[in-house]
Amino acid sequence: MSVLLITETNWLQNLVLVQDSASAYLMRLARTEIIEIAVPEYSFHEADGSLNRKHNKRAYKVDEALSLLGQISQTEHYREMCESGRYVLKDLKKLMISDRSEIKKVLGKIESMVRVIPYTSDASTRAEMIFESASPPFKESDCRIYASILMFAEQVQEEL
Amino acid sequence: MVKELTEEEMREEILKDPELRKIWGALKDIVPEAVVEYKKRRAHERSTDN
Repeated sequence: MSVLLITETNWLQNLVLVQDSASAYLMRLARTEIIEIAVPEYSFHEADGSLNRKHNKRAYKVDEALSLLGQISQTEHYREMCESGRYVLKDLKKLMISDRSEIKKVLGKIESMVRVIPYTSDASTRAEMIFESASPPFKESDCRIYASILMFAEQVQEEL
Repeated sequence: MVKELTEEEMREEILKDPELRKIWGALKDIVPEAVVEYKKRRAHERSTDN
């Protein structure tokens, strides 16, 4: 293996959301063993969290709509129409639950196709120190990703 | 000198791999608002990098 490519959350999002050809092509190169791709474990959590937040917002709105229809249906002559609406919304909610599994499944699949950089307690401590320092990266999640990459790179260097 | 692939050539290569086809853009329809937000954020990051 001559090239080890370290990617992070943006690469994952490019791959699953934007259909970015360059990101997917890099994965293709990794699949044909021309390069190796390593992704921090924390990036999978970050991507999952960000996709889920969006998904949960939708699910929350569906819940609100269900509750609103429940209230409106207390007026007798609206009841039938509200019950039909609630029926459709309940089906929609079931579909949304299966979409939640799809997010997990896709990210899990990528995880099985790349080398995963572990987020260890040492990396966590190092991330805290980077975060408290006055140098970049300034976002806490970026510090965690950066720290785990640093530790991984050091380990790879030792192996050489 | 290595030849730089065009967008089309990269796509052809990607589509050759059935496993890769399953994950490429797999979540864009599930949470389309995440696509919009991600594109905006990347555009902002690029403009602040320049």
